[in-house]
Amino acid sequence: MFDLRAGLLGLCLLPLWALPVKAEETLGIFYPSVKQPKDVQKAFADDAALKNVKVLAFGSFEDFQTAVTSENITFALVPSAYIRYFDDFEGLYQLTLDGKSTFQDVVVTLDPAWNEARLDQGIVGAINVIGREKTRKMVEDLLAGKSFKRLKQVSKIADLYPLLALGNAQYAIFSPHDLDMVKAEFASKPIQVFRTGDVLHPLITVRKTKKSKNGDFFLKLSPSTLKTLGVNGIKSFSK
Amino acid sequence: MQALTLSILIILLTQSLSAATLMTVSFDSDEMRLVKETIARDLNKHKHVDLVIRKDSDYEEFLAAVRKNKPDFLALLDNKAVNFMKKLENEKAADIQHIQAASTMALNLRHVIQNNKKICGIVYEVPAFTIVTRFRRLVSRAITTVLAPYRASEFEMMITEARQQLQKEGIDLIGVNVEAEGRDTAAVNRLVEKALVNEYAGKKIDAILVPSDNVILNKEAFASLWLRKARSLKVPFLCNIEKFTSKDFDFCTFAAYPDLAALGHQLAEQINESLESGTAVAELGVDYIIGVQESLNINRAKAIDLPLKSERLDSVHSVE
Repeated sequence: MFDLRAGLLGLCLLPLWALPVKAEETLGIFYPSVKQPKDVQKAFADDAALKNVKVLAFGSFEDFQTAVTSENITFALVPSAYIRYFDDFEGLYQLTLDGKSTFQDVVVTLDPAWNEARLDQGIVGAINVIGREKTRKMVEDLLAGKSFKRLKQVSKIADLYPLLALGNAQYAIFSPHDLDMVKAEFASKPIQVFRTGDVLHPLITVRKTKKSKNGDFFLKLSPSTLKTLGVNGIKSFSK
Repeated sequence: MQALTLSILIILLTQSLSAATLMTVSFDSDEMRLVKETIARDLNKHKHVDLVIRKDSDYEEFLAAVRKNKPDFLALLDNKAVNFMKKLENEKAADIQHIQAASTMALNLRHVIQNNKKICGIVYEVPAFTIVTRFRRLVSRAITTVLAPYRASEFEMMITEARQQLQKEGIDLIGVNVEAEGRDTAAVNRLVEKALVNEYAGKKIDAILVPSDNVILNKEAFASLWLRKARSLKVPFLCNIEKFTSKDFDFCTFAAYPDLAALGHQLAEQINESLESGTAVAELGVDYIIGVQESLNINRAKAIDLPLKSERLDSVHSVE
């Protein structure tokens, strides 16, 4: 026999069931790459592993840092240098490429006269990955004591090569992945001056005040999603 | 207690010594406001003074503001502000002579401050290299020959550099000096008409660069020559002015125009280099603008049968 009260209760609850599942946590992504932030955001938001996670991708460090202070960001996908210079987040997962956790940045020029010996007289171009002042420190660390005349920073990868081509800088620092993209884009070919020391691929970090949050679902991220950032694997982070 | 007081005094003194006064001289516009805000954020440890000028502002007004605020450094947005600074350099007063400046949003800045030792800056016009290479990545047709009408009296240096930069990309930039037969408007317009063609000197033209020069884009020529030719030729017109790609103008196919936040960062970096590292502005010189935004008029592209790389259109502002 049909129970009218149960039926009505069911009808009342139906809209609640039909509502989309509310995102539990927010992942903030800031990792300059040749991909547009909206493409990166879409790739991560569409990944089944993050179905309960709100994803926000940022095109500049300043925008990311503003969001970190104003939005409820639990997890952050950031350049590995971020946790060395900022205290709010700690490493949770290491992104990898072909099983490797590290890569070496490449210092390039367009003019062979600007060799390694002349670095101290030249202007170096780099991406602002952790704020203008801290990026300067990061570049000094990256170049391991090799001095340079000045540093010029840009916010986007797309702006790095023009720094060289227009003569605003004599050297520029690229990741191998970005350099491959640039080589495909331009006819003039950059010349490798030297490689830097090892750099960790980006990290997925957790806000220290929310360390108890479980981020196991990140381990299920698909390689095709990670490929938008030039990596294809993920593993637990160890210091 | 005395030691504590002394420490606090030292800290306060150090801070006040390292903080400089930066005075921005600009017009009241949204574009300039965005650049100023970015500079203020990037250089937030310094004191900022904002002098807003009008078209009828005179040098005395500017000088009075300098005397009152005693800036260490000026950020000059627009040619009028640059001209004030050039005049200020002639002042003999000791409290003024040390002032240096950085400028942008001024037209033809390299030409305007040639050999100047007290002003550095960022060129406001997006360079031909950037416009052409950004456009090239959106189309699946080779871009090897680009035509650029220009005035040699003011833009020779810019065209020479652009030619060298594009040559490295396998692109031949044909500069057509439209003053070759005289500087009067009629003579300039006659040569512009001759230059805007599908083929120039036997070479097929892949794109035409529209100069940001009011003398060439004069009232008589704009509709009757530039708009008419852009709509009748089978060649894309490229420029650095966003509105020229709007539906209303129906003029240029593509524009790469200044990203104002990036421009603010770039100028702030120069100012910082001078204030923090003590680098002379003469050494900093005038850099090319780097950060741009892009706009593509899809209807124009269709009208000239331009094959586009659809997968790359997400990164540009499309006008349909």
